[in-house]
This record gives sequence, C-alpha cells and structure tokens, in this order.
Amino acid sequence: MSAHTQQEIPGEPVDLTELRRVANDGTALRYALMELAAETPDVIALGRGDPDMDTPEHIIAAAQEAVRSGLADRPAPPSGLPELRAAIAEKLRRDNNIPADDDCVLVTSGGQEALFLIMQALLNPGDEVLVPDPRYTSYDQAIEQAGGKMVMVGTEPEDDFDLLPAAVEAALTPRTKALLIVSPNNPTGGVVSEESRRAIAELAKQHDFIVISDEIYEKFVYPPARRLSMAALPDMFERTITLNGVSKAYCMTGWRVGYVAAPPDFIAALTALKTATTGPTAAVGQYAALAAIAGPQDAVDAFYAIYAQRRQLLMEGLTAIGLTYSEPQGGFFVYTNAASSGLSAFELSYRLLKEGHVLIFPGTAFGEKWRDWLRISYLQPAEELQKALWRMEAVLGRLKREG
Amino acid sequence: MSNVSPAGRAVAERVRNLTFDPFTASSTVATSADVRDAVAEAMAEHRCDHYTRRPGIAPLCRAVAAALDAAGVAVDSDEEVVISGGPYETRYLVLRALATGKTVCLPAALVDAYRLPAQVAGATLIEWDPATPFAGEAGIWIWHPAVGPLPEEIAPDAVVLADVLDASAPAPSSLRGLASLHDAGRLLILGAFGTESGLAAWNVAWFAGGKRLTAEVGALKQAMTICTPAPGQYAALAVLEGVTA
Repeated sequence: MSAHTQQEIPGEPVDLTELRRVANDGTALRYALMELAAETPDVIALGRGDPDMDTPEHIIAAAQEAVRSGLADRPAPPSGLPELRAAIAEKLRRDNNIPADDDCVLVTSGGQEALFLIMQALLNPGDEVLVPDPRYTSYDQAIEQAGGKMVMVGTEPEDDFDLLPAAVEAALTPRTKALLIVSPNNPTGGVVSEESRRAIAELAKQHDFIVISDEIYEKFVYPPARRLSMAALPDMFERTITLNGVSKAYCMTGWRVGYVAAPPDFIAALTALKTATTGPTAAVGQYAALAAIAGPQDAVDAFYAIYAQRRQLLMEGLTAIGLTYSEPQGGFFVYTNAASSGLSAFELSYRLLKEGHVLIFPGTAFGEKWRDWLRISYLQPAEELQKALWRMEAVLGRLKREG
Repeated sequence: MSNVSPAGRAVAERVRNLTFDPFTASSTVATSADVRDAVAEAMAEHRCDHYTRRPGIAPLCRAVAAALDAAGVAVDSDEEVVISGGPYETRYLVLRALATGKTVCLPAALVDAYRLPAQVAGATLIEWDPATPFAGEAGIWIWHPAVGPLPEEIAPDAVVLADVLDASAPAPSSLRGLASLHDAGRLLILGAFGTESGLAAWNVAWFAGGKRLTAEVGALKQAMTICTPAPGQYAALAVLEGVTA
C-alpha cells in the first residue's frame, strides 16, 4: 500500500461495553455497528448489502407512470400483479431453466418477507432446517419464528466455501425438513459448484427434503463460477422453493419487492398465509419490479462490470495490507481473514470504525466460529474503497506498533 | 397424493387448514395530485431506492407523533413510532409479537379484521360487548374510538391496542382518555392513513406507543420485512402534510 496517502486518524479510547451486549446476536450486532457508524463522522460504510448505485431510470419512469396514471392506487391481488407474475415466470424459464408457470410465482414485500412466509408455511415445530455456516443471521429469526430448528452445515475457506454434499448428508436427521442454499453466498461470496448441486439434488430426492434456494445475488457471479438454479435440475422443481427479488440486481432495496417460485400447491398455501398476515405487496413497487424484470437489462450488465472492478480492487488492496481472503465467486462481499491483526474480528471491526471510520462487519455477526473473519462489502465507489483500504492500513499499522 | 408436490406436501398443518376469504379490498379512491407529485419527486430524486431508516423516514415518524400529540398522547418520534407495511401487516405483527398464546378481547366490529392474523399468530379472540360486563381474563384488549371507554374489568397489567387503522389520523383529543395507559407503558396505537386518502394499495400504516411495546413489535417488523417500502412512506408523508396544511 502506498504510505504517502495513509491518513493518520487519531485513535479513540476503546470501549466495547455497549457492543458486547449484542455480540452474540448477529443481526443485533450488525445494527448496533450501523448505529455507531451513523454517529461517526466521515464513515466509509462497507457493512450493509445495500447497493450504493441508483435504481435505473427506466424503472423510476415506469413507477412514476404507475403513480400518475392511478394504477398504483389499486390494490394488487395477494399473489401479485398478473403481469408481474407472468414476467417473473418467463424470466425463470428463460434465464434459469426453471419450468415455472405464472401460478408458480408469489410476489412478496422483499426477500425477507418471502423467507418468513416460506418458513411459516413449511415448518412444523421441531422441524429441522439445514443452514450453511457462516450465514446471514436473518435466516435464524425466520426459522425460529416458525418453531423450526436450525442445524448448521459447515462450509470452509479451503473449499472456496462450497456446500459439500458430504457435510449436508452428515447433518441429515429424520426431522430434516429442508436445506437452505444461498448461492452466491452472503457473507462468503461462495458459489455452490455444479458437482455439489447435482449431488445435493440426489440427496434431496433420496431423503425427501425440500431445498430452499436463495438466489438473490444470482446476477453477480464471477467466472469461472457459474450460475445454476437448483429447481432447474432434473425432478428438482417439485421439491425446490426458489427465493429471489429485485433489491440487489437492480439497486432497489427501498422498493421492497421479492418473489417465491415453487410448485402451484405450495404457492397457493403461501398466498393464503400472506393474505392472513401481510396482505398484497404494494402495487407501486410491483410496477417498478415489472419494468426491472421485463425491461432492458443493460443497467444490470453495467452494475456487474462495476462490481467486478471493485472486487478486484478490494482483493488487491487487502493482499497489499497483509490480509488473506477467500476469493469471492459472486455477490458483494469479500470474506476476509484478519487473524494477522492480533485482535478478534469483533474488536477489530470496532477499532476500524472508531479509529479508521470504516464500517465492516465481524465474522461473528454471521456465526460464532468466525472470530478471525470480516465481511467487507464493495458497495462503495472505487475511490472510497481505496480510501477505506488506506484507513484500514493505518489502523492495522497502529495495532502492530502497539504490539 | 400423486398430484401433490413434495414442497406442497410439506406445508405445515396450520397453513393447510388456514381458511381465508379471497382478498376483497378494493379501493376506487385515488390519491390526490399533491400526493402523486410528492411521490414522483421522491422517486426522481432517488429517495426511494434504498432501505429507509428501520422505523421509517424521520419526517413521517415526526408527523405521526404530531398527530398523536394532537389526539392526546405524546410519543417520542425517534423511539416510539414505527412505520409499518399497511393495516394487514400491522395487525399481524402486534398479535404475533404480543399475543401468541394469549386471549385477546376485542369489539365485535373488529373481529373480522383480526380473525386471520390471530389464527396464524396463535392468539385467541374473545368478543367484547361494551353493554355486558366482561367476565373472563384477557392479556390484550383491542379498543376502537367507536366503542366508548374501556371497561373497568381490564386487568392492571393488560396491554391495550388502540386500533384507529380506519382513520386518516386520530381525531383531535380522541385518545386523551388513554394517556394514562401510555404513561404506564401499556398502550400501543395502530394507525394508517385512511382509505379516503387513496393509500389502500400503498402498504403503509404505523404503530406507536410505549417504548418497550414499540421495540418488541418493531423488532419483529424489522426481522420480517426490514423496512416499509419507501414510496408508500413518501406518499403517507404527503397525505399527513395535506391533512395538517
């Protein structure tokens, strides 16, 4: 790293008391760090998975038209606008080879709601859901709320965080109801290999469990990894629930539109549940999502090129400051090993925020085992990423001097 | 069973047995030109693109707090107001967060609105007839301005949900009689922005009240949907600003 641009930022006394209260709750820890960041001047936020770029203009224009024409004032059916369901089904057939018809699609108020509905519909108390470790801890709440039990399946950096069939098989019990696959993965950036997918599909059929395939980061897969939907594999559509949405692909987190694709009988049950709990998804967001999914995809290609460049910059920068990582094959994050800092990731992330004004989430926000790891997002412009790397280098240098 | 997919077969009993009426809410009321312009402007300025502040955009929380203040209950707009994703979501959230396994006493007029969310949340509904003394015990009471004062039999530790989801804003002084419950941290007010404002399809409502109750329901809200869609929040803000203009 070029020393000439390093910023000396005065250190602040380290007081982790407040943060320790939430250290064992990944979601609470992430929000606590975000709140701390909001109170910190000139912070570079490499924490949350909220794309920093704007929703494309043609999507904004479609939403504005829906507002001005009054379409946005008319409640949509609980399962979603028919034209949006049709566009999603067509996208799934065309891009994912998933044999979905319109009645295989439910539109939800974001991917998170989709996950809650799926778990509520799928699980009876005591049912087990296999979840890759590390994981985005919002899955925990969805499973717990439904009375299910989460069973962790380890993924490891030496396997590029692939989800190995042997690990899945070892975790199966008679209570296993479902396996959650998140590919590309949050937080690791791992993509489940084709070989693993095919073997896991065979396990699902043999042991009669359901696969929940979270494909929210599907648009951002970096070669040689490649995208492959579980529901596209032979005889897997019947036992796969695919979860996706427009938030990440089109920079639309504020619009809250997600969707579920599954066999029609499951979608019918899910629609009943949605009717009873949250009602239809806001019409205005659905018109925006329709423009996103059925409209030109140039903006997504442009986002991809930008993320690919940032990913490269971040990986090179991390190497230069002496941190190791598992090369992300997709998504928005570099899962980074910070053991060389001599601090736990929990403490390091706090010091990076307080002293370097860089917000990064510790690995323990994604599983207690990940004490040496950091999840670093590249959802900032290249120049901000560069600045964040300099600040990190300054803090790490200070830690080294402190011994 | 041959026509049932493994995914369908796995659906839990409580969903399979969930009886529901087809969604019949339809609104012919349109939003005003002012509301449409305000939302279109927020979109053009890319204020709708990203997750909002978890409890809701600050000016909307302040506007709700101001309306409540006029109605007779003073809440802290920073910590005691959460913008939710519409009346359906609001009713489900409060029952799921506060009433699972409990008995909920409510006026007959609101039974239909709460029947399905109570079924999923695992709460038991008991109709409350203001003309008849209530003999049972209920941990949660649902109140509506049309039913008059709360009954005297209400348990001292019971939580009261004041459901004003059918009004564009609580009428001035209409909640004054509940202020002492709020002081005791036992009141949660559920409100929306009224069907007459044309926002039925915009999925926006709110809940406000005691800090502990707001935090408890707010945590579930955040876990379930992260935040409320931004366009609806800007539409609601324009509606409230129109109401108070």
